[in-house]
Amino acid sequence: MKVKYICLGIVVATLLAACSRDEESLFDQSAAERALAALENANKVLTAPENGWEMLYFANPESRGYNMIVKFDANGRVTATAKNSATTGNKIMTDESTWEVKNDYGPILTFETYNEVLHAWADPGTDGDGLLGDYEFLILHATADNIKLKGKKHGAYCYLYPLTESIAPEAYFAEVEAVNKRLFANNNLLTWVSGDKTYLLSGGQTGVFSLIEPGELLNSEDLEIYPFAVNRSGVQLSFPIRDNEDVWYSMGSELLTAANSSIGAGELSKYFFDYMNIVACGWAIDIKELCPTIQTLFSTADEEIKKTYNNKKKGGITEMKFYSAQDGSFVLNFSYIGSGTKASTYYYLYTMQRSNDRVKIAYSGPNDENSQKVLAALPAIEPLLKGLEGDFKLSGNDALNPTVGLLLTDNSNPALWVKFTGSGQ
Amino acid sequence: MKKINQILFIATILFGLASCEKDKFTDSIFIDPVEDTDSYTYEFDQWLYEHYTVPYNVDFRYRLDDNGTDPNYNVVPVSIGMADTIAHLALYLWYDVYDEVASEGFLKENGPRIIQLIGSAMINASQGTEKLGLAEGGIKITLMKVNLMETDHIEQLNEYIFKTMHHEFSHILHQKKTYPKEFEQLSSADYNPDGWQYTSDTEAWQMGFASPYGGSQAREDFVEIIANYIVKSDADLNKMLTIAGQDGKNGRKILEQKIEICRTWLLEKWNLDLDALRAEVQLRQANMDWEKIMNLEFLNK
Repeated sequence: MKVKYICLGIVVATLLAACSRDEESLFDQSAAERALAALENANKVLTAPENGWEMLYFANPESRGYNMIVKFDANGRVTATAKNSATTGNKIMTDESTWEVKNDYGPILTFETYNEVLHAWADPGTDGDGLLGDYEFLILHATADNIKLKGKKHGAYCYLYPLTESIAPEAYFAEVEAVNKRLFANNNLLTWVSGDKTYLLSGGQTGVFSLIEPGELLNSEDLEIYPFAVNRSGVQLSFPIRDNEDVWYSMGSELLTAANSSIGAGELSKYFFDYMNIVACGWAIDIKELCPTIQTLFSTADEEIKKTYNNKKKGGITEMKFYSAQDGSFVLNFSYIGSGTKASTYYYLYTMQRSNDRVKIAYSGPNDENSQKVLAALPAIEPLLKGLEGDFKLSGNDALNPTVGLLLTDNSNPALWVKFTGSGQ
Repeated sequence: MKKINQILFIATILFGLASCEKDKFTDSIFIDPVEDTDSYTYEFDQWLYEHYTVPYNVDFRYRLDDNGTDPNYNVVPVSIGMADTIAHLALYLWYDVYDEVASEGFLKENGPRIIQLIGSAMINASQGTEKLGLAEGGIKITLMKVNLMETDHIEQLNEYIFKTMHHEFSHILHQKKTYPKEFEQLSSADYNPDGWQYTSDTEAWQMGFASPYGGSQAREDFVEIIANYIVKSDADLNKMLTIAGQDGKNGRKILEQKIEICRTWLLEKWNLDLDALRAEVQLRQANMDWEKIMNLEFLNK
């Protein structure tokens, strides 16, 4: 009997020991308390900005970003305003509906009644997919100065930034459009510098960059894609480039630069060459705005072409573009319309040398027999080609994007200058 | 030791009994709405509580929780405006009809517990099909495409909302009391679960189905017969029966047999007069007065 009691005592003691709760907690609060705190924080943050938030919405990981102004009120109402070609016909549209932060593997922001502005991307339309957007988002980060969301179903990241001043939607979207125009109206490209490599981000007008390695073709297949949104401060990528920290192209710096890499003002000459080293990218001479010296040479050659081909109306020089050739030399593509309406292109070689902040350009001669024949037939062309020679200093015509306008001014003769624009696609 | 064993045994029984205590049921399985009078949707939520939860024990859900939808489909919520309209219209063309025709408390006892509105279609692009509604476990009816409804287009409302409600509710009824085996035998050789969507209305009618979807399987056939019979106007019903019997086809005869089986089953199993139900729906469809509907002037007549 005694043995039985001893055994019973051991069993009870073992069970009690198993039930002891002396495990150390990794957190100060329980899981439920932490979940509740996250909900409260998200509610507080979302409703705090008096003027609402700028929302950079990415429907899915392959789609461009769109701008919205969203305002959350404490009574469960959200007001959203957008203007874009995909869902509002480029007109400002505002709608209101409900919002809620709920708990589901962490705080979730959900727009659970239909809002013409917010749900336009998630609407399946007639094919069942629509624009593959989300209306429920995991709240990955929520502080007073920014919120990062992730679409629950399609997984795109979205960003919210507080509007610190009251701004009418018309003014907001006009400012965004102005930045977009500045960046991409004249070209479709940005560069991304990482280490000693300069990558090209093409497709700016589509809202989805394709990353081009140095030397890679623009139309290569299976390029990495990086959707982005333009806002009043610059460009926000949806997700980082190759695991680098989030790249945010800011207008604060002199040139448009990535936050984790930069092209300094003194490196414009390097940029000049790097840009041409990207396949199919070159610098087009602005033939409508030439310095007087070059203008005289240009007009003489232009008149000669028109006269020779008796084509005053449509004939003349149409384009002059510098490209980098594969052998390290540089080629000027010289195009003009002789007879008819179609331009012909001839090729002339140059040497270009970088020296600190300058680029020295010198004419070498025709690239091939046809180009040689043109010089013989139209003797006013060669003086124009030689007139482009000089030891040029470089300055950005636009602080945001050198490809929009790069000014080359001769170091010893400031009256000799030429303007370039990037020409990649 | 014996005593200790007895004490332990009694204690175990007591614990067991305590855990078996019955839940206390109230009039509704749903809790009272939160009295947040500042809420953006307070008035509408309160209205739904008074006109759906209290009288019919149903949670009329217009907010969409993605967890409650099939993740394989992309859907969006309904707008509050359309939810309000459909809630009024469903009272007029559905709930109040059953109140009028069926026994008192019929819907409160047998009706769906949850009605979920979804704003968009639920499309299976690969199969070229779309779901018009869902009935889940005799509890929940989900209605699709609500944002796309034109409220002055009764045929469209019937097709996507009310026919679907009758269809899904009939599923709930036959899930509780099974339908006669003889029904299944009438078209057993013609059901086509994978290819029904390639059948035209005429082909379906002439095979003895009320719609192409009715030809997918017997249980869908059964509820399609009831739903179409209730909502189709006299002209449309006659058209269906006439075409079903053309070109030497046997469709009309089969359809009439199926309608009769449904009629008898509803009366015997549910004490529900199918023809009275149809007559009341047709009368209301023919006399749609939006002001009266939105002011609920049709209630308590």
